[in-house]
Amino acid sequence: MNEKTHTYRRSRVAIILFVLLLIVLFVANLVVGSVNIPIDEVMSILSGNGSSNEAWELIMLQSRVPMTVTAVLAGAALAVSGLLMQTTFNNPLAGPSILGVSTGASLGVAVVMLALGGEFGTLFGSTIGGYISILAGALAGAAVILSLLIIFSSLVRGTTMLLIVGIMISYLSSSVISLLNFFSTQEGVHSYVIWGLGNFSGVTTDSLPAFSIIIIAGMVWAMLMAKPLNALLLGTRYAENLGVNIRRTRNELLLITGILTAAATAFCGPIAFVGLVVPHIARLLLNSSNHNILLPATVLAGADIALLCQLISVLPASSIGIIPINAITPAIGVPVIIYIILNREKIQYFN
Amino acid sequence: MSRMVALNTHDLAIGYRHGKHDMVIMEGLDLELKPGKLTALLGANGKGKSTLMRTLAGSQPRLSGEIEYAGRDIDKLSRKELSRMLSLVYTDRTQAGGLTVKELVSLGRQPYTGFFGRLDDEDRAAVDAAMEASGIRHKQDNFLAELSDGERQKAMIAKVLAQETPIIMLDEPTAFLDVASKADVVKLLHLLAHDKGKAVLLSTHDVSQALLLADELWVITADRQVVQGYTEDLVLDGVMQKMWDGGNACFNMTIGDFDVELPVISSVALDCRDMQLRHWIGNALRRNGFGIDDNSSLKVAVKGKDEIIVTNRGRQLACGSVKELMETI
Repeated sequence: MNEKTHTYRRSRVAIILFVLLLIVLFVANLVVGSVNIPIDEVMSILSGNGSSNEAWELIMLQSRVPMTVTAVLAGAALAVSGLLMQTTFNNPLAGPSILGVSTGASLGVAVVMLALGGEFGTLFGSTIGGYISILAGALAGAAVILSLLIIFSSLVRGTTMLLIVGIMISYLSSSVISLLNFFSTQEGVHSYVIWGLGNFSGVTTDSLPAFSIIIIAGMVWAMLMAKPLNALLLGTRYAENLGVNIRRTRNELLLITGILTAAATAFCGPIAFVGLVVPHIARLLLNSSNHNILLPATVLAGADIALLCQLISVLPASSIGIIPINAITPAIGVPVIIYIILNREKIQYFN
Repeated sequence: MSRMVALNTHDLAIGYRHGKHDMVIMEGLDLELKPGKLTALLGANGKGKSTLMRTLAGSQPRLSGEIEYAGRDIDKLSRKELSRMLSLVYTDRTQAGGLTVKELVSLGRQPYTGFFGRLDDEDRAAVDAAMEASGIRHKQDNFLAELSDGERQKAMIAKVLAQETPIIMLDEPTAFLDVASKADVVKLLHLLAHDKGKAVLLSTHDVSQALLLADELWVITADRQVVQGYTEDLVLDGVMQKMWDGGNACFNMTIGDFDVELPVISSVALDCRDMQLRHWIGNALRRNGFGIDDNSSLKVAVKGKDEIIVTNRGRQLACGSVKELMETI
């Protein structure tokens, strides 16, 4: 019985840690930036009392708040996508960026931009119609890659092979994107490159509600899948015997993955490593693969990691501007993955 | 119907469908699985043991014929109904190392729990009882990755018990286990059938163990027929030898297992009252190319394991051990 309480206490401590970190990082992201705004002014602006300095109010409400909320949502969305993919493909190294889903979404965005005759720059200032078509493009791109992955996962056995297939598909999508860039204008290429570096400031106050609704809906849907996800930990044959409709469940899970990845990618660029690494951080800290607790923990940890990356990206802001998010995520992600690979014998959920 | 049947097939054909061509593995199967009986499925590798099990479980489409669960056509059962009638144990590697034993066994309640999979008191009681019955309760908070192979198999059986199905199928449940865990698992399955009235079907390579504990056998013969019957009747009818055609394996009726047919060069008349001694001295003789023939001029009289007397053409020689005996003759 002691061990039992120990396990549950550990999970609870991990969740509380994630929540505290979320609060601290959220506030830090609001306070830190190129313009120094005192914390009491930040609180005053947030509570609706306004500020003595109108510029501060504008920076808070038009820039920092949407950016911080976007980081929370995008980080959580990518992390949940990664977890769903890892369980669905029974592959601990699956993730939206590594298996090419993010690239597929990027390709969809690129195609839509080109078809609309616009440039990537318009992504950040376009109309609701523009957003919807960009999102649709991203979703279509992600869906194509996910369907290819389903087909290949039934053809190739073993986790490594699927990974290689995913990376190959990713290369193919990238080559099409290069081609699109080749025919694009110079400004188009420039704005695509900037978008591809990843950033959380692409969601404006106007588009924030739509972005939030899509991501939150996707995450709620994912939470509802905890029961079949747990059954899938035993493999498809056991899950089937427990009454899970494998085909439908898998399609549903991949659709959720597609929606979450597509929304995050369309607005913030293809952000690497968050989807792959966060589920592992959550599992290691919780010491459990049980999705009832792992899913919420992954949501929180994903938000934490995104906020941390965002904070690092603005730290040196005064001198050289904002560092791209994709320059930071590997610095956090790669050590975690290497740690996991080196310690896989000792990590329970690998055996 | 005079007798309850848990599962039966009628004119069942199993195999794979490649476009318009069917690759038939076995056909014309009329099989019955009875409650309260442990049935062992025996057959050489590649003869279709796993295919048969998968087809019976409904996870692979059959080519033709019928499968009935407690008299109901398998096609008329919903996924959920089927998950309450049949539970399975495979040899598959799972990704469940990060689940505790209790969490794994709780998964067995999924056919009964609601949308979120939350356990009520009845579910929790079933999970505890299942862990108790399979002797894994003391490890309930250990991760699966921390268990030995035998314990993991017991945890899987506990999951199956929590599922509370009248039929349990196990594919090679003892394949990777050492002798002690093997005995534990097989005894547990025997009790499930006899005490809890489950219809248990297990496929295995371990013939001697199957013969010891299985009430009924399904023997897949070399020509892809399934012979079904009471264990000892099938053995005495010589069905076991039909599992292989030719080759070096031959079924030894006396010890109830397959052994290797060795060349016989000479013969010995063996006189020994003690059955145990007779068996092992016979074993040594056989290995060294001696057949046992009472009319042979070479006689071996055994009084004890260190008192063996060899008589050859009137000459007598006493040997103090089996090794010495073999060197003498």
